[in-house]
Amino acid sequence: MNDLGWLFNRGTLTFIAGGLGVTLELAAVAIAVSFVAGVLLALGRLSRFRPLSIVATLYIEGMRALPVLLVIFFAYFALPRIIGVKLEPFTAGAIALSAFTAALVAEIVRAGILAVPKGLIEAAQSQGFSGAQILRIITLPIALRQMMPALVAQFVTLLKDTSLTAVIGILELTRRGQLVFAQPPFQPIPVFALIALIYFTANFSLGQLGRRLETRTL
Amino acid sequence: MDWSVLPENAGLLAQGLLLTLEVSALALVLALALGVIVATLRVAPSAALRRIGTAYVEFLRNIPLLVQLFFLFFALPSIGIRLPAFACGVLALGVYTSAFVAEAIRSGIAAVPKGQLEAGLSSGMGYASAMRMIVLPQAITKTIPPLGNTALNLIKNSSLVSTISMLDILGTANLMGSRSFQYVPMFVGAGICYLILTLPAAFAVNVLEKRYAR
Amino acid sequence: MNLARHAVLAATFSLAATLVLGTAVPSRAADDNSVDAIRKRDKIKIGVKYDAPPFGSLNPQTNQVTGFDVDIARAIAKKILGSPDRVELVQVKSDNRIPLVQNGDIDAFVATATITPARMKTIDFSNVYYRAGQSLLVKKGSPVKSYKDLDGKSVCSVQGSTPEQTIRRLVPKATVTTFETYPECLTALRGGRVDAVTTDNVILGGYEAQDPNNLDLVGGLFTFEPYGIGIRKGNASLVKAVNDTLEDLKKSGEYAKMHQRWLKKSVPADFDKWYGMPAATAADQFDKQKPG
Repeated sequence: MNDLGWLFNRGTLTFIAGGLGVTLELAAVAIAVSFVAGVLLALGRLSRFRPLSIVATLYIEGMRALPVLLVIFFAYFALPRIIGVKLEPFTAGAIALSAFTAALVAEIVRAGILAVPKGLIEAAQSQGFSGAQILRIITLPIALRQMMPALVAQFVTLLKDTSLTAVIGILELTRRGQLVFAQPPFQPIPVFALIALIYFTANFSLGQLGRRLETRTL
Repeated sequence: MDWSVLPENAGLLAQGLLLTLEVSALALVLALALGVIVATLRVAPSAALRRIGTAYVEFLRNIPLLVQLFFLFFALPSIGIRLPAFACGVLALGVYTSAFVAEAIRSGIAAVPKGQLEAGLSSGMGYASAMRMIVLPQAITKTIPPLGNTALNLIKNSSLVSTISMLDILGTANLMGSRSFQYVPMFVGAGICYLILTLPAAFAVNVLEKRYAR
Repeated sequence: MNLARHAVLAATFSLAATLVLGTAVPSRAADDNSVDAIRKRDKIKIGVKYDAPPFGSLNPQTNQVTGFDVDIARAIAKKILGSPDRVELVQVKSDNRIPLVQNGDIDAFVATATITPARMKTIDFSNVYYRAGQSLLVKKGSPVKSYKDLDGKSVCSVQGSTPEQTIRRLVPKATVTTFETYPECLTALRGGRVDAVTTDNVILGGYEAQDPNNLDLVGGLFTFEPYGIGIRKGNASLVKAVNDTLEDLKKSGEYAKMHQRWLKKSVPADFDKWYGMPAATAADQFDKQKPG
């Protein structure tokens, strides 16, 4: 039991590292898509065009009220039957995580936009700036800086949620760990310790980075 | 798509709903109890105690709940500890959430002016009594909104017990879906069940946030 | 907020379009997987399992897929393209192997697939290349010796699989625990959470071979599971090529060697009864059987 050579060898460690790679890849895709979608959803919710605002609100509140695991299962098992296309686990996982996180990002962005001092906006309007210019030059930059901490926290959550895609078979970090201890000598505990350490390092570092960004932008 | 599977399995989904509630309720109690203890550690005068509390929170918050759950369910039996699936679910969920409860309480306490605690200590109260009778009651007001959010997340996170083959809402929907191949109706049904639980709770949290806003 | 409205509509549309187009797998014409098409691209794509030893499994330490099914896949590649290396071994699972071959993403799959009438409606199968049966895996010293002993006990299988449904039917009083894949079932068995794991005997045999001091294969074969190679419906040229390959493997003795190498025993006594059986006959026998 004290000899961990079966775990700490080049092949197995490379295999596990590959899992971390897939985890990060999945998170990166989801972060990118959910950020764009989240900003658009937030703008949609804030829009004065009623139907748009209602649809955006329904999507946001609906997604936020559901477990992300349900969204993942839905994307992998149910969605293909609706759109008639069979989805790869990675694609389904990416869609699920993006769609889910977009709703949460939308709320963060909306709070950020609403926190921009109205006085600034009014001043710019009286100077003749158009709605689009105000959005681009004043609102979004201020709001983005303000919501950095919340966004980073959300992305840490996203990194953790990638582990849930293990259940639809994506060979990310958690799943590869399971495969390793399903082989001789069948010792789960050292594997779990290693996997937990990797997640901890990744998420803790991300959290610290967020904290540093927060103090820099204040 | 055959939507009749939904009414056919409504009874099973209802049982799943009950199990979700049971797991969530027990885990919440555990999370609150542990969370209060750890929060107290984190604001203790002793630096060593503070460090223990911080380590607890950081450790649990940064490791995915699924990994913690799988550890209890799949790994512990290898050293002879075989907890039933229900216990694994409640334990993992409760301990994980306690880290967030502790964090919510800590920020609530931090919002209470320092003078309050000092006043209590200088009147001869012990640290524990001062915390319990002066600081904590005021902190609770500030803590309720984030706690409400944490409770909401706990209900959603309870869905993870389906991965250790428990028949909660999601587990039931998944099983019935795979048997009948009617995944869409079953997952929509599961979604509805979760919305029944979380939407009222989210609304309540909203109301609380507005009432206790800074 | 006119701009916002336009921006949101435009972006939502493009996002939706990207997702659908990006993930939409273009459906290929049946010709794309014919033997001629395969020869033209000089590569054959065959789906195999990565988590079902000794039929198909990925070794984490070497990053290679090997197994009985893999050897058959290579034999097909050798027959059609002249070299056993001209094959791309795509990972498949029980729930995506049929859609992948229907779409033309893979030319065929050799992935522990049982020939059933239901499946025959959606794809074609080669002749039978292996006969498996459902069996049980238990811990050494377990009182469970056949499926009848599972009454009131717990048994594990993969969610949605045929063995899961069969065991529920055979032993209604057993507690059936399901997970998404076999490794979880195995870990549950080792941890004492379930009394037995049930699925095809050779998948179980592979797991037993990894840990013979702790695990035992019991219960005999209580179902008839004819394995076939899955091919897109209408792809007659490939079906013929594969059946010819199977015939060659039997005649040359290569099949017997593969059997010994991976399954650690020689071909069973009833080999000639089922090897090379046409898919339609096999499906019929499968349908009419009464397990037990």
